[in-house]
Amino acid sequence: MDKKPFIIYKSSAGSGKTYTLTLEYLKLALANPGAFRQILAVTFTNKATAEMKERIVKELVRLRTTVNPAEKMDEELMKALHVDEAGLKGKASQTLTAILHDYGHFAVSTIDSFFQKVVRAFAREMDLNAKFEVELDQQAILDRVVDRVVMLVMEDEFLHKWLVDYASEQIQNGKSWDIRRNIRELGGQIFQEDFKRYSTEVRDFLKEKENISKLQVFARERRAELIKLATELKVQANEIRIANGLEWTDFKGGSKSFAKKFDQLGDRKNPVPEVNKTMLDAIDNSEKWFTNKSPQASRIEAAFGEGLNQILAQFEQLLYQWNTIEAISKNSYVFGIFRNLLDELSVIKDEENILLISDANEFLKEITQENDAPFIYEKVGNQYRNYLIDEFQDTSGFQWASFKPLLENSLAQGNTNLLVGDVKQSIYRWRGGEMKLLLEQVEAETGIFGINLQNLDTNFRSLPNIIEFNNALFNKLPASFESYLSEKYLVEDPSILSRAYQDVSQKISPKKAKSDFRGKVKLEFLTPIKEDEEGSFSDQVLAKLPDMVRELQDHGYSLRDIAFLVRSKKEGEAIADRLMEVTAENSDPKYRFDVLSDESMYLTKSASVKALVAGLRYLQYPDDLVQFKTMWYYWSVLKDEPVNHSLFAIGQIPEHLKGRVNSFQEREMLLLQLPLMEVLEELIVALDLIENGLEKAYISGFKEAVYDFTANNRSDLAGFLEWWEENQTKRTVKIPEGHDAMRILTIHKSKGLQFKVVLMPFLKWTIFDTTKGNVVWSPFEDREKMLSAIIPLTLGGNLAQSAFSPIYSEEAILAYLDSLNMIYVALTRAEDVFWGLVPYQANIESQNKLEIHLQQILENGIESDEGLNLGAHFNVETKVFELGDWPEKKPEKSALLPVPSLRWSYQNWTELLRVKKYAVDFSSEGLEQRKKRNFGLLVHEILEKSVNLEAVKANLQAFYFEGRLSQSEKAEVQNQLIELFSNPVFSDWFESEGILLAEQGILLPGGKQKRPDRIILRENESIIVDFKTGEEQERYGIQVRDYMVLVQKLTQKPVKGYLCYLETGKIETVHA
Amino acid sequence: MHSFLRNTAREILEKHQNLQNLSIVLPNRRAGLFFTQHLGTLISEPMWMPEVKTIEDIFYHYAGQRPADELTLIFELYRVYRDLHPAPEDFDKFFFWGEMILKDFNDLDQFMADAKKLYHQLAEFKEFESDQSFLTESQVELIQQFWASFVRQDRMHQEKFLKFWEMLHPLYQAFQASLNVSGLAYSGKLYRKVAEALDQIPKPEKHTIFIGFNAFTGAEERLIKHFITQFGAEIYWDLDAYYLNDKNQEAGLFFREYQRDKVFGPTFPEIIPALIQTKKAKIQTYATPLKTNQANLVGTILEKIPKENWEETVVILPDEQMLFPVLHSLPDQVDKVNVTMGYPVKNAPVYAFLESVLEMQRFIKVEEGKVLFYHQAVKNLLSSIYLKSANPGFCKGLLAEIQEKNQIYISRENLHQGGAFFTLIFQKLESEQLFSYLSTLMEELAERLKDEPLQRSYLYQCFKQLTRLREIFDKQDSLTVNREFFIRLFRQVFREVKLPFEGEPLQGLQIMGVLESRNLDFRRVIICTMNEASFPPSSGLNSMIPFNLRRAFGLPVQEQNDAIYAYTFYRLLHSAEEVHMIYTTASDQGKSGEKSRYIQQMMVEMDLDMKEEVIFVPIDQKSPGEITIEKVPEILQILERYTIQQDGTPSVSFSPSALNVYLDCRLKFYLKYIAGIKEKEEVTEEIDAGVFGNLVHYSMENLYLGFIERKKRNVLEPGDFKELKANWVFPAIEKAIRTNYHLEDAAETKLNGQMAIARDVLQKYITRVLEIDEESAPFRLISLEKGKEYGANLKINTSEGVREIALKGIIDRVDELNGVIRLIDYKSGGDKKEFKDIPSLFDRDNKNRNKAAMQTMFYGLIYQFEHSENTAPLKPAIYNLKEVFSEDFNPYLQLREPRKQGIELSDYRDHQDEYREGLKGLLEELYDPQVPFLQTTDLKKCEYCPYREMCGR
Ligand code: SF4
Repeated sequence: MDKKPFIIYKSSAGSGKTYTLTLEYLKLALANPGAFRQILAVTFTNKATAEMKERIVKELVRLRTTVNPAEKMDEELMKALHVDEAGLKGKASQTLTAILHDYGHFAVSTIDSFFQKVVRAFAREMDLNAKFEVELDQQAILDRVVDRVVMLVMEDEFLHKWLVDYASEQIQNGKSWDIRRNIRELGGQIFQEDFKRYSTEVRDFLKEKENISKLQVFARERRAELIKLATELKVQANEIRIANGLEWTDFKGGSKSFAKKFDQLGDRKNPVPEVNKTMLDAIDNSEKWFTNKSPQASRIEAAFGEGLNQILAQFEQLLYQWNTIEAISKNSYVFGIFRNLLDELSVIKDEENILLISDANEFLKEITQENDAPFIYEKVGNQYRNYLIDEFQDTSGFQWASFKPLLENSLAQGNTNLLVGDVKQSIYRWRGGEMKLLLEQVEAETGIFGINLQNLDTNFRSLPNIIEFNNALFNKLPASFESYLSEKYLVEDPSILSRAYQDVSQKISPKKAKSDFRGKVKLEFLTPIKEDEEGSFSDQVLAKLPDMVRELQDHGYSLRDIAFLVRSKKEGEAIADRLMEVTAENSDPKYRFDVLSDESMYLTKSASVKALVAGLRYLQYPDDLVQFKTMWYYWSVLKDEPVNHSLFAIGQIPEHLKGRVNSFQEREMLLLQLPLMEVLEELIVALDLIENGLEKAYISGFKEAVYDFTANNRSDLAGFLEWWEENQTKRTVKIPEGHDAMRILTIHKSKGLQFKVVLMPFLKWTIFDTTKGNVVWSPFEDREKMLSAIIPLTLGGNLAQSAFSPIYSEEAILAYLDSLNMIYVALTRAEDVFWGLVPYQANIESQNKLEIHLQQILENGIESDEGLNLGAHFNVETKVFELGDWPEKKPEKSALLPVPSLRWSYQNWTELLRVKKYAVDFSSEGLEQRKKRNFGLLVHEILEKSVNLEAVKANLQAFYFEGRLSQSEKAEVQNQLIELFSNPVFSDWFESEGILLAEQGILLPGGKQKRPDRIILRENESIIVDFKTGEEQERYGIQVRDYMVLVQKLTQKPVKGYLCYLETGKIETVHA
Repeated sequence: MHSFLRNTAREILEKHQNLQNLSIVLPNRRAGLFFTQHLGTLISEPMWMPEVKTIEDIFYHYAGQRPADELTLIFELYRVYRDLHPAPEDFDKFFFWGEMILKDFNDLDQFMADAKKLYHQLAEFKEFESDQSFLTESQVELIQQFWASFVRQDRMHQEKFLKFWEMLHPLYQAFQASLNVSGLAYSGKLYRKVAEALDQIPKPEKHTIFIGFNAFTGAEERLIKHFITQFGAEIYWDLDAYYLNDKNQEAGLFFREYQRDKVFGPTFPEIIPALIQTKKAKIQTYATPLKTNQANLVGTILEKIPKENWEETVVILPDEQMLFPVLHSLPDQVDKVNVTMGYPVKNAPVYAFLESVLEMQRFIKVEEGKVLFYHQAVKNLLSSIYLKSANPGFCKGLLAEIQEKNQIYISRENLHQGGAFFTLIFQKLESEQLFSYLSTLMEELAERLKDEPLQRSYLYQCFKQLTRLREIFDKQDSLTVNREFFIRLFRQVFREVKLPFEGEPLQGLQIMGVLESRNLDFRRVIICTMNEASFPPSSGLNSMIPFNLRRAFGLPVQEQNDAIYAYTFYRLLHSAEEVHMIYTTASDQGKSGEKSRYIQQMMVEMDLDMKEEVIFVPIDQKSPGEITIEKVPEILQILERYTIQQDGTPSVSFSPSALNVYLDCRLKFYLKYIAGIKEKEEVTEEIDAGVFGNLVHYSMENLYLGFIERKKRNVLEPGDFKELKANWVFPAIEKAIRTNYHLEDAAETKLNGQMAIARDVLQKYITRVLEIDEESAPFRLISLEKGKEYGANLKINTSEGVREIALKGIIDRVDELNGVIRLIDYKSGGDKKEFKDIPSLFDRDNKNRNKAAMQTMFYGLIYQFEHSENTAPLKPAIYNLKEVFSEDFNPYLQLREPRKQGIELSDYRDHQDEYREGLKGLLEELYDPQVPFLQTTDLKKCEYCPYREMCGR
């Protein structure tokens, strides 16, 4: 058999990846009923995990009863497993049962949860704490780290000086001196894999404080040198100019002459001016220095020869050096305190017993490298033979390094393993995803095991026009990007783009090929109304949205068929806001505009939540009148009450609000005593928010936020408000799938999803955005000064001309690849229709924009031998690219989800709750007794539970272990007991002949019970004893007498009754 | 309705005349209560109750001892551990490991495993292999498999594992020995002791009946078998054919085993009940997007139920945190509830208070004998209800004072003025005081919470734990408690404490946790959080003993755990006629929002009519719209106060910043100056622009006024600066800080963190300003005082006729340089000096409107108004922090058209007419009743606006 155990599926969009994975999983799992326990399928998100599990179970449920040899899956399974229909059914049934009843071993899991599981199993060996908690919110941790470092300033002199210098430098450069923000920005690096790779070196480097100072001194000196040099050149240049009787404006270009740059040399901030093309051309070419007609030509010629040319020729080199130094010093201050950051971070981790999610990868890498696979399996308690890894293009270097030993172990034993991924859909580089692994590295590293490479090249998702459009576009786009990369970023070999896209062309699935409706792609290029107005495009887009949605509905699409894809959440927010506005104004029942989005519909947007948050803030800080007024303002909005001066003016309350405000203020104090959740509930009642029936999803979402907060933190208001401050931008409304509304989602979140109609209203972005301040780590060395370090560089345009230019080009390539992938993902989400809005640019400036490349390709599309002719579908007049018509048949609309009536009213049940009572607890009597050190009730509780003296002792000890008594209190109780037992009558009740009953009383018909504290049944008589504390009372006797009657009836023997007062030890005989 | 306990009770009644002679053993106390209750309903005459107990009771009874609490045991364990381990970690690090080791010891005793063999070492493996006396082949295989993974021993983690592993048996032994000495025990130890000496147990006087058990530990199994064979004990099983007969059903795992057993087998009923299959309960599942919505849904389900015997309905809450949300949504017709479950104390406000009191200790500073508390902690405590209600006036006053003085630290003395409770709370604690401090505090709090029984119960639970801790620490003299450690331990221990709710059984709607439902039967079952990882709960790998070794030695592994939970679930179906299962699709914190396996199992395997409903909560967002405030008469009246009255004085005047606010955003002006809504101030450790400006002003004032006073002259010569720079900058700044924060001269100005940095930055700035002044010297100082206010009147036309409006302003500094009067403003921001022309200063639509220029020009206006005799040029100037350091610093305003060379503005008076016009226009609009106050359209203005919450910007 030449079946190779290591299969790599390269799966383009829509090629049935989940199907393939499911199939492969089943092939392995159906081998025998227990096989599934040894398969680990790894997915990237919780959602994908759930879907994958569901899919597998669904297939098994189906296969158990119906096998259809015509189905590809069934056919393949039968072939792979060498069984017939009945055999497959049987296997499916067995495996299904096995999975459902050993569900814990149904290992379809996210990479994170698998890693955490392993790390947990090795916690002891890794010197981690037991029971650590995994912390996901790294930003919050970083904030705390930074605060602590700044707090250290008073104690650490070096740090103090360092930070003051830093702040001053910031100010002198005209920047904000709130250094915390800057520290936080760069500080986030400590969680990044990119940094971790170097963290040992960096730590070593920073251990010696001199090192970083030395680096700074080096930079400072070099900087001064360069300024000096530039200034000297400027002086020289001017001397030459003057000597020749020239002005800089005499040179070619006049008042705009490049020669003016000589005068800009030596500026403190930019000692070397940018070198442009004119200048480069002018080097060694005197003719470019003057126009032919110039009367000064000869003098300029002379000046050229006397040294100006030579000086000009030095610009580039100088600039190169300057940019290098700038890049080094830019982050040096923050870099200098990385050691403090790292130190404080480990203190916090220790104090709070947490494991950062970003550490898991690092730890796992260590674990799999430090241990043999079998030992790992033994510790984890699971033995995996087969790995199925999905979305492999998003795997990070550390993750791969962690998996590799396990995979190799499995491969070495001849087991099947499987990777699935698509380099074209790798869009998580910012989270560490390394598509190069899938592109080439894995094959190179594990080739010895023999690799079975499969290319899934049929698209089952989209209609023909969509596929053909994408085939055509992605045939061109990589090249278009590449040529610009070579031209603008001087990239020598950008071929990785075309390599990644070489298999991009997809086949149309037979089923879709038969469809009447061919699908539709429409890209509308919008010409800006006003020149260079930033907001203009977005205004145009937002204005068009309602019509687009109407048109889609006219063509029969339901809202749930439609998705908006955006680059940033901000764009999503704008769309959501606009459409909600339209919903509010809309009066035509034919159309709806409902949207929903996990990413864009923030809780904070809702008036109810705003009112509640303001209310909570006000409760915490009653002096904060802004909050007080805010609360009532939003209340008025929700209730359609007037918003006017009498609402806002301090000291005034509108008539209609008076009652409500008063009753609210009366409850203020009471509210503060409640647990957080109840405060919120009460506040909702006080503001009467539920009655309205509005915004329930938001109110619920806010409740959920409080619920989550209390689950993980202690429940105090101040803490919650702080937390909310940080987290409000993360909480959105949650709406179940299947609800009939349009989705808004970022391209990142859209991965793996598909929609009938995809709208991309903001189809534009900068490709290599160097303004974001992304950081890369790079080694730097200066031989002369014996300096070498790993340095954080902020990615900026200046790096292009510096010692770091290779890094810069590399980043440029990756940025272009990111963009390419991003648009690939976006365009391949659509089943039927893709509709985008793109800004049109008549005069093309920079091509560092996606929209420009699209425009160029579509506008100038030339005919190619095969495939679609894009240019033919571009209307030059209207600037609209349109391929395909709308469907004739309207798709069937599916029914709406019913809105269930839920119960919303609130009722405070707290007071009706019974809490277990204990003697001498914190109830009022308990406290009373505590003060008096009166333990009578406690003694009572012990005695009533104890059959004999031995039990008395045991119970006393048990109370002590429960913490109900301290040692000294225990001694006191013990004394009381000894005292009591010293009375022979008393001790006789516990030690005597006969049957002793303590908790065992008399059962009455109907279920009631009578339980005197003690019953002693002897041959000729019975004894009843009841213990009492406190004052003697008449009714106690009556009670005992009742007991006596009962017992007499049951035993038919004489009964003696006693009352015993425990504090005094007094024993009273009760006569029948 | 079928009820296992009731049926069993009936059977027993039929069989046994004298209940008094029976000893009934049930899995838990609660089942016992229900059982007795059932008995009661079946009798017609009073009868003796049987003895009802749990299996623990039996073991502890025969052991003659009860186990110590876990804390004590972990401490004991740690003591032993320290002696064995060459480099033991601190106790708090050990704590959770200790918990785990203890649990392992407990397991291995409970299941009667041989500790020596279990914890055997790799080296002994060979000899051990041949000793197969009691191990089955498959067990040996498991062990072999485990040790086979040690083929290569050069691996670091394996080494580490082995080192630790090798210590465990000595640890076990030493621990036993030490427990024997101290007379303590954990439950497994007692169980084992009893189970190993069963033959010494005399025949009990009472006839024992075991009821409703499912999974026995090894020790339990031995004891019960002994009772059955030797003492004729009976056993009643609570089971159903549905899962018993299907060998795949994990719920029947134990029963199947018992059924095959020689002793247990015969005790099984002849006919196994098959309720689940015959009953065909109505089953409904729901998916909700949010956890809390489950509560709403429970309310809805209950609402639809006719008023009836609520006792027959149960709400099961796998996630205890759902308790209160569910209680809050109960419909009115539910008139009684009975909650049986633990609720975490950590959710109680009073616990939050205790924790923050402790946390405050972390941030105490002692300086020169003074105890200082960090503001944040103090503020949170002062705003808490407990301190607030103790002395409301004091809290309010102190909070305001902290605010005003921007106190980063507050002294103990100051806090103690609040009274006894404050004195109690605000102490700096030494380690040995921690316990007494907390216990006094808890008791004190309990006194104060008279009307809050629930809160008091929470407190009491905490108090018990504290007492325990204290007892333990008292005995461990070798263990020092440092504060940090204590706080950590406090958290660790107290966060696990639960408040037991326990109502009258059989009354009202039953709400309980999963395990509490054992043996109980209900007609209607509602289960929340039917999610994987909740029901069944996620499996934690909470053992130091590797999985295969556990299996080999018969210790429970996941399989057993799964079986127990599955049984708990399916048991609920025995008598249910209606089952509602709610799961959430919200995924967070490692939980994936996946529905429970039980739902999946039922869907596939039961031939049931199952529907799934997705719960959708409507959005219906209300959008607030724009805020527009019309100028009602009342507002006009307020504006009237800014006009010159008959007596020639206004009540208030407009400052340039108010006017700038008006230009920026009319609504903001309205809210601040007309509605009078003051923004909240905060103690900040950072210095914002406003404060920085103030500090610069005060510092410069101190510096130059001091100079004038010392030298008795107000002209500064270049030679004066050397000394000023060297000696006077720092004191001037110190004093400025005092003034700004209203500190007494004697009060210390301790700064921290960012503030200390800011001070040093300020110093650089001031020094730089002096350098600039030095270059331009000599100049004459005219006015510097912050207290000095300049004013002016301006006539405008309103619909009511001509009005004279009052203006005022404070000029940071006025001086005279070469015959020019300079009006100087110190700025901390990046204010520009260029502006297009005068009208642009009043153009609110101009995005680059120069506020600073508008303000400094305003100084010209008021200066000239007060000095109408002045003929010297008035030259506004701005010293801004971000520019002063540049070499070609020039403080003067520049008039500059776009893309043109700027012209320095050399005299305010050249532009005064135009400026006054602009101002008039502004004021006339402000006084125009037709122009309402609107929100600005420029969202940038909202970024730092205190009213942005209100505006929703
Ligand atoms: S938030 Fe914006 S609109 Fe509202 S008052 Fe402030 S500046 Fe004006």
